[in-house]
Amino acid sequence: MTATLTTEHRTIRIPVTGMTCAACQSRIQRTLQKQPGVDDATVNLILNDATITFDPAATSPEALVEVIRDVGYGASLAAPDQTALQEQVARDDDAATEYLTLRRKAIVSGIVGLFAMIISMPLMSQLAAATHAHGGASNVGDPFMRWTMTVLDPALRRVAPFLYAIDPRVTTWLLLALTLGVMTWAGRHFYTQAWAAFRHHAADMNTLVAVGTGAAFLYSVVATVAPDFFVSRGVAPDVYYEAVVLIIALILTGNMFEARAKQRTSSALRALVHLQPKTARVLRDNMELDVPVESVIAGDTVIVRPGERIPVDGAILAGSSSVDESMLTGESMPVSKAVGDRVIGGTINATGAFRFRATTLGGDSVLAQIVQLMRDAQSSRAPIQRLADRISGIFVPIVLSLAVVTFVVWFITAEQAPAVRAFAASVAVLIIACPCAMGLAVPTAVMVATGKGAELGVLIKGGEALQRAGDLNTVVLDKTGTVTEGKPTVTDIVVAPEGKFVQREDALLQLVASLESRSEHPLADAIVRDARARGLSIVEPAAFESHTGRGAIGVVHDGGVDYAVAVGNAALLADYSVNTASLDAQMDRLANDGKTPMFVAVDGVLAGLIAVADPIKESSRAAIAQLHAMGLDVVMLTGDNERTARAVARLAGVDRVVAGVLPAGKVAEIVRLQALGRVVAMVGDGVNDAPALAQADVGMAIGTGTDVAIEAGDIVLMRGDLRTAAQAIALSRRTMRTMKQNLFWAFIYNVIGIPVAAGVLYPAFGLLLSPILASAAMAFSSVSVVSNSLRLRRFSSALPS
Amino acid sequence: MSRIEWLVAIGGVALIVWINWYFFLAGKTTPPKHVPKDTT
Repeated sequence: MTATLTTEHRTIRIPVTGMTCAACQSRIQRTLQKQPGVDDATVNLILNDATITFDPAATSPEALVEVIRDVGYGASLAAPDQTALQEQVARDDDAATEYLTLRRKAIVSGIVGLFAMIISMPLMSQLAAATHAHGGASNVGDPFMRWTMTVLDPALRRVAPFLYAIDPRVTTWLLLALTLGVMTWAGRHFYTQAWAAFRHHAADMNTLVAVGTGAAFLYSVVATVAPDFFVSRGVAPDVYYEAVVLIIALILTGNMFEARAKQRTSSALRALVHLQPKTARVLRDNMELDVPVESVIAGDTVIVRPGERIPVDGAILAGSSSVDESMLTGESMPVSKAVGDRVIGGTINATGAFRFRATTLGGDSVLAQIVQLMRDAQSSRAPIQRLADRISGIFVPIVLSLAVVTFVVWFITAEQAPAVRAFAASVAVLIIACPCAMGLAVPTAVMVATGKGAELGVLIKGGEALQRAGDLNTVVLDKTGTVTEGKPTVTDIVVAPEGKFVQREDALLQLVASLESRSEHPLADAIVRDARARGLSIVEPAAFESHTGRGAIGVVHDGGVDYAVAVGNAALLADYSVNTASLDAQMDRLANDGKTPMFVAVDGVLAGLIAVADPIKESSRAAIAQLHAMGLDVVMLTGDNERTARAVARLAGVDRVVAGVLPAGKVAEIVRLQALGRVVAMVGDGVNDAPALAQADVGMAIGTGTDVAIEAGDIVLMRGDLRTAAQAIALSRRTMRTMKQNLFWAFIYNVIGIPVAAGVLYPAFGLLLSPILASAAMAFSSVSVVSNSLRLRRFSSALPS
Repeated sequence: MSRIEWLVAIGGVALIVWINWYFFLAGKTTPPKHVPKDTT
């Protein structure tokens, strides 16, 4: 269990066991929502949990657990100090155990079912012969059994003739015992859960299975105990034990495949959980110690060697390396790390060895936060799910009614053995009608898609975000940090032909950087960084004077000479009567390219110009082209001036740009677009653009590596790469398509399956569906829906260019 | 229709009415409520 505190109310997550279909989920959810003090409850069939927001003054977690148990399901509170990682590991273990249990039960029931079918064949022949002797008609009502008797029975007679010599009474009593064993061992939960549901005026898949197999079993017991009752009325005392056992075996087989497929849908989450190493090498009392990762405390010095996984989050104290962060950010290239840089637990140290100070641990670590976010996302519901919920809530009682109608119609209209035919058809209706596929259609797609997103460095915070992202038609981009690098850098250095620095760009830069080292302006910072990157030595200026809005002047002592340096716009240089004519054309060109050029004069003579710009990210142009190819309108918002904004927009390929907007103006522009009926995504950093991210239909927070604020936005783009925004939208569209396909197939399966099982094709084509085939079809429907969702795992990150 | 068929038909209608009453109407009037065990 994990708990978060809101202002007054709490949200808890309670693991639930024993859910098999959408009706189970719907029932628990409805019951929880009705409880006093519960504000909201969401039950997830795939993750097997209930997320409940409640008022602690009105109810308690223990009471809520009791409510779930009372409805007939298992629930318990996990240890309160469990992290999302530990909780996920426990869940995975439970899921693995559930799968193994189902497999054992399915295999044993299947073997017993086949054995029951084989010994039933001679029994059918003998019973039919006995009825014939009493003047009755052979009435093997189950078409599946009829097929086995015409095809398999002759072969069995040749292979095992001794079976035909066994007294039918012995066989029926043996079958009764075997069936009772399978029902009470392998199929027990169908009956106990159906009863628990019934007590609460609810019905689910278990109800259908329990009523269907229970009716078949009781009918068979009467035929076993009092066969003469049937024979004397000209009806063969058919028994359906083999059908009961095979139905249970097939449904368990379906559940088993479903459990395995459900495990696969959360494989991405599981992979994340297993990223964290079990131990860490820490330095304590000058000794290197391997300690369990849980024992690492904030402030510990952790040692990492080449090729090792980084155990916890921290900041590098000594050494440098490159780190593979692809598992968290999707970035395929290793990221260089030096002293002071942040490293993330779970990533892999590639080359160098280093020491770092442990910072965030346990539930606060980046990995734990991502796991928590993904689990929340996978527990959430897409709006499209409501349709499936509404239908599954009323589905089972309607099916029970249809089964009664089927029985009555067959009983009245069948010419031969009406009771048996009516019975077989109504059992088939009960068995084939399963709301499982409907319950799995949407959540499995959400799970696979969120997992796939995480692999690509896209954290999607739930089904609703996924669905809205699938409907987008406009993408609004913030310029700084989204389209551009967000960090001004020196882009051009031009030396003046009349100055002292022809062929000496670095010397010019060194002088300017030395002067600007006293300035706090971002442009000055860019110049100083560039000079340092080139290995130039920066000296303290002998004099410095800032001219706000124009530039700076001062004296730099270099190589035994004092230079009077002026850096700034044309107005500043005009004040000192410096002629800039030789570089005016260059100045205009650079300004038109969206850069900020500055003239440099040394000792009263024009020496050159230096242009600083926030360069467009390499990936931005391709990303915007991809967004266009996907039919999306792209708008760029920026607080910059019109000329710079237009230049960037032109280079990046953006259709429309809105310049000079403050954060409030960004919100207003999004509201305006929404008023025009556009479904808008805002892509921006999670800090400055928070209001616009919140206003947009889908807020996409973009960040560089793990520095991104993962709580911001509906979708978090872990890499600072705009192409991941296009991937997120493409993935969402594909997921919506998968959800719709799943819902279509789940509905169409029932729309076709139920009438066929009821026998509507019998008058025209003589076609019937036996209960055994119905149970196989039911198992197949759930498995096919989950398999369709699993296809999302093959979603390619390659996009149309 | 024979008498037994009439009986089955009437029984069927009655069963359908009961099913729908039990699951759709009776359930709504008596929702399970739980009093919190501990609100301190």
